[in-house]
Parts: sequence; C-alpha cells; structure tokens
Amino acid sequence: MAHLIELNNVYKIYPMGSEEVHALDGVSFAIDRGEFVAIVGQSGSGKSTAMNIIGCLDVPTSGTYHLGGVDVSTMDDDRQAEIRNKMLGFVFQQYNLIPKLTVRENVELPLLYGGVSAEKRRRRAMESLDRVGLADKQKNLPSQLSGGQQQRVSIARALAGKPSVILADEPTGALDSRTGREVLEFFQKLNAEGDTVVLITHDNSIARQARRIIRLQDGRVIYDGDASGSGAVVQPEEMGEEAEV
Amino acid sequence: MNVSQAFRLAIKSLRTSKMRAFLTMLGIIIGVGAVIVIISLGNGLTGMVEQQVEKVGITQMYAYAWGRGDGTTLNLDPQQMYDLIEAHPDVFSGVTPWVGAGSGVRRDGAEFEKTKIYGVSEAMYRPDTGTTLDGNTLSGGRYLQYVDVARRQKVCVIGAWLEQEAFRGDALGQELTIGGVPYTVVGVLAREREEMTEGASDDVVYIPYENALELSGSRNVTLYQVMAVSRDTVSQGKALIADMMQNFYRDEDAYYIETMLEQVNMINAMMGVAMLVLVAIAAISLLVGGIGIMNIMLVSVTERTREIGIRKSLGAKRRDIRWQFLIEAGTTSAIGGLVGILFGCLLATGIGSLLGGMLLEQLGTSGITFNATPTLGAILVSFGVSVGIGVLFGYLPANKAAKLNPIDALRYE
Repeated sequence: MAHLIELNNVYKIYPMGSEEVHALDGVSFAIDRGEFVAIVGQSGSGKSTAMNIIGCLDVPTSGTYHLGGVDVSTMDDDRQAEIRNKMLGFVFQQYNLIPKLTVRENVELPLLYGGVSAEKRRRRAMESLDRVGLADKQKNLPSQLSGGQQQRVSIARALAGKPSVILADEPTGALDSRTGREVLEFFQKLNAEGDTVVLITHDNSIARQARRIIRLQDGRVIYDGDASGSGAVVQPEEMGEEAEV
Repeated sequence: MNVSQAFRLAIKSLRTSKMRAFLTMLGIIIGVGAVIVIISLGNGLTGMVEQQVEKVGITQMYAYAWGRGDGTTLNLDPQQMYDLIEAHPDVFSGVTPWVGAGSGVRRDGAEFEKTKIYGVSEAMYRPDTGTTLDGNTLSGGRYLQYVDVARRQKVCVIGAWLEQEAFRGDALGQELTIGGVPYTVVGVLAREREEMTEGASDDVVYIPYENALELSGSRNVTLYQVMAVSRDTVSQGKALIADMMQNFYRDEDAYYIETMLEQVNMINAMMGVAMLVLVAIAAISLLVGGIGIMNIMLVSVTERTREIGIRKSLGAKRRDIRWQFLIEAGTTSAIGGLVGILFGCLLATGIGSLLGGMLLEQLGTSGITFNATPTLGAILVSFGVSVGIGVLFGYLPANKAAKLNPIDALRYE
C-alpha cells in the first residue's frame, strides 16, 4: 500500500544573490497513516520548508511529493488549495484564527471553502469543538479566549475538515509549558484515535512526545527513527544550543 | 464559497469599521447625489417647458409672408391661405392672419399708450375648445366673429389688465378709441399672468385684422398663425405651407415658417446637452469615489494579508479571495449609491421647490408646476453605475489579494 506522505529526493533551492541556498537538499522520507511524527531541527535546518511542501503551500524545485498516492509536487495554486482543503489540517504557532469571526465561524472556514452546506457546516464544527472541549465557547470571539483555548479552537478547525494529516507548526511555541503539555497530550490523544499527526518543532523535549522523529540539518535528514532512539535527540553539534534551552 | 456568504462577510467587514466605510462611500454618495440632482432639475425644467408649450400649443406654426421686397405687387391673399388650410383638414385645424398694429388706445380721455393692438380673424378663437390659438380663454362676452371680420366692424376683445385699468373691471359693451375710431368691447380675455403689468400680455386689444391693416398702413398680411391638428402633422403642415409659398413667390427668401415644435425640440436639445455636460462633471466625482474605494481596498488587502494567508491555507482558492474583496468593494459602493440616491432625491426636492418657486415667479405664468423628480431609469442607472464602479475599482485590489502567496501571507505581521 502506498504511503500517505512520500517525499522522494526533494530539493528546494532559493537563489540568494549570486549563490543558491539549498533549503532542502535531497530529502526523502515516508509517513504512513496513523503515525505521529515530529520533524525537528534548528532554525535554518529546512524544517519550515519541509512543512510548506508537506502542507502543499509550496512546491519542490525538484523531486516528487506524493500525498495520498497523488503527485502534488507540480500542482498549480488552486489545485493545491483544494488538496489543502480536503487532506490537510493546519495548526499554527500563532493560532491564526480570524479575529472578527466567532469561534464557530472560524472552525467552519475549511468547510465553507469545501462547499459544505450551512447546516452540515454547523453540525461538523460543533462536533469538532466538542472534541476539543470548547463547544460552549462557539459564539465567543477568539480574543475572548486564553492562548490555550485559542490553540484548541485552531485544532478544532484543523479537525473539522476530517483531514488525512494534521500538520502542526510549533503548536506550543506561544504557550506556557503547562498549556503546551496539554496541547501535546491532546495531539497524542488524537493520534491514539487514529489521526495522523505531523509536528514541526525545534524543541527536542516536544519532539520526544511523538512516536517517530525525523531530524533535519542543513536540508538533509540526519536521523529518522523511533523517538526513543539514541540518535533522535542530541546531536554533538547541537550540544551548545541544547544547554541553553 | 457562494455569493451570499461573501456578501455577509462583506457587510460584517464594513460594520467593523463604520467610519472608514462611510468615508469610503462619501465619494460615491456625492457623485450619485449630484447626478440625481442634476437629472431631477433637468426633468423639472423640461417638464416646465412642456407645460408652457402645452398651454400655448405645441401645434402652433407661424408663417411669415414678407414678399420679395422688389416692388412687385406679388402679395399673398389671405384667401389662398384659408384655401390651403381648408383643403387639408387632416393636417390643419385653424389659421388666422396676425397683424401687429402698434400700440396705444384711449378711454375717456385717458391714454394707454403701451396697450398692444393686434388684428386677427375669428379663427383665432376655437369655439369647440373655448380657447384662442394662444391657449387663452374668455372671462366674459364673446370673441370676434366671422361677420365682424367680414364687415370690418368696430368691435374688439381686450385683455384683463386693460379691463381692470380702463374700465374698472366692467368693460363689456363699453367703448374705447383706437386710432381715433371708437370700438365696442365685445369680449374680455382671462388673465394670463398672476401679476399683470402695463404693456405685458394682459394689456392687449384684438380687432378684425383688416381694421388693423388699415390702422398700420400696410396693405398685406405678413404673418399667419396656423394650428396643426396634432404634433405629428406639424412637419407635414410646414411643408404644405412652404410648397404653397414657394409656388407663389418662387423665392425662398420671401417667406419663412417657424413651428413651436421645432423650437421646443431645439430648447430640449440644448437642455439635453447642458445636462449631459453637468452629468459628466458630476461623474468625475464618481470616478474620484471609485479611486477612493480602490485606495481603501488596497489598504484593506495589506492589513488583512495574514487573514488571506489563513484562508488560503484552509483551502480558499484565488477565486474565493477575489470574490470576497470584489463583493466587499461592490457592497461599499452599492450602499454609497443607495445613500447617494436618497440624498440626491431629498436635495433635488429641496432645490426644486426653491428654484421652481423663483422660476415660476419670474415667468409669472399660472397653472405651471415645477417637479424636480428623478426618473426611475435615472435611479436604476445610478445604482448600477455605483455598483459597477465598486467592482471595477475593486478588481485591482481583489486580484492583488487573490494572487498573494500563502506562505508569505501567513508570515506577514
């Protein structure tokens, strides 16, 4: 059976003046349905570029990316938008809720763009909010909620479209450690219920909450394996930075 | 995403910044308002001209028969004119010679030197409608009759001012002196103007035209007032008279025919051009309003870059984003247009009653009203134009938003 996510020798090259920057330098990995993977690396390691490509927000310079068995690496804007809508649920560091829409309206957005009828939108948004335990806040504006609650709303929004992959980009970055832990536990719960979760982070302690870690450095995969494996966490070059964290 | 959702979103977005929305609309409000006011006042003026003409008679024609002026005795006999008119009852409904015989009458030693004296025939009055060819009516007595004209009787019909001033309001059967000859007043005309003054249209005397010819010392009738059956037969009538005159004089400069219809058409055409120029000037403010909308939409797109990024990451296509901003721009200008229409109608009514009152006072004609109301067409067109401007000027910002790269947009602070 085909992998859910399959990157094959992916390069992303940005021209920078007269030189070229290889943000991704021949990356290959595959993620299957039901996995909980953390893509981890320092800033500049290429993890954001990887996340943009996995999230169909960008296309590789070369190499292929198959999502759900479909080659999405050469799609145009609007086809990509369709794929994002149907297959991906994003959770961002800054929650990225639209401030003037209510909680429920925010959660409905992916369904709105998916052409779901108003009645069905409402029902699925409420189901989704129920899953994150915020059904009673449906009429509130995001600014009336705490950071942790806002992040849960954004998770509810990601879940509303019943995506194949939940893609979380530094989801705990803006939260205090206790709320951050709660959110991570929530991702674990989702994964236990069968959802595929891909977490992008620079923080090893967070990455360790996943079951599998893909470590990037200078645009290359330097570790891909079990989160409890010996090479998963500390690399010799990272020692300095680790000590500071 | 469908249109009604985009529309609700637009309303929501406008309501979150009411002051800005209002200021954005102001240009459109002023532009549409100005167009509505101009069109309304134009309609009022046109309507007033129409009423005035209706009163005088749109079917009037004036046929001048000057002759060749070369000393020949080639003079048109009034009978020729009568024959022509009688031969075409489907075209003409009446004709009268019209002879100006100067001014000045006496009554009991008092001199009214500004009173105008006109010679006409009994055809000047139409018993079937009870009006003269000028559209006036009698307030007492009778009009000149065939026998008066045929026998050159010394009778006259006088205007309301003269009756009031010379006869203290009771002129029937009394006498006045015209050119030293006593005339009996057989009829009095209704007043034409609210305020009658000496020498104006209520200060007149009508006598049989041959008496007037004698009085003025001329031998020939040089002006005929002709009535066509209807608006539609005016040009045909003009052609018939012109043919007859051309056959008679064989000289195009010997006669001239003017019709009320042509004059009205000319006035209307001139007013139409004037209105067009004014509307074009007002339309410039619509243009400025459109640019205002474009400007604020560009600002809005920049401010909401992150929102656009979020929407795109959740699956909004270019089309969805473009629609959202286009509808927002269109809604802004549509609301502006509606307010402008309302504002324009109110203003037009206000200015209309003020200006109308002044105009009517100046003209002094009774029974004419000034209605400064816009046509439904004008309202619909202005509304359509304002929506169109919003969409037109909203397109550039909307397209800019639609083309934003989601990654850059999400990263935007």
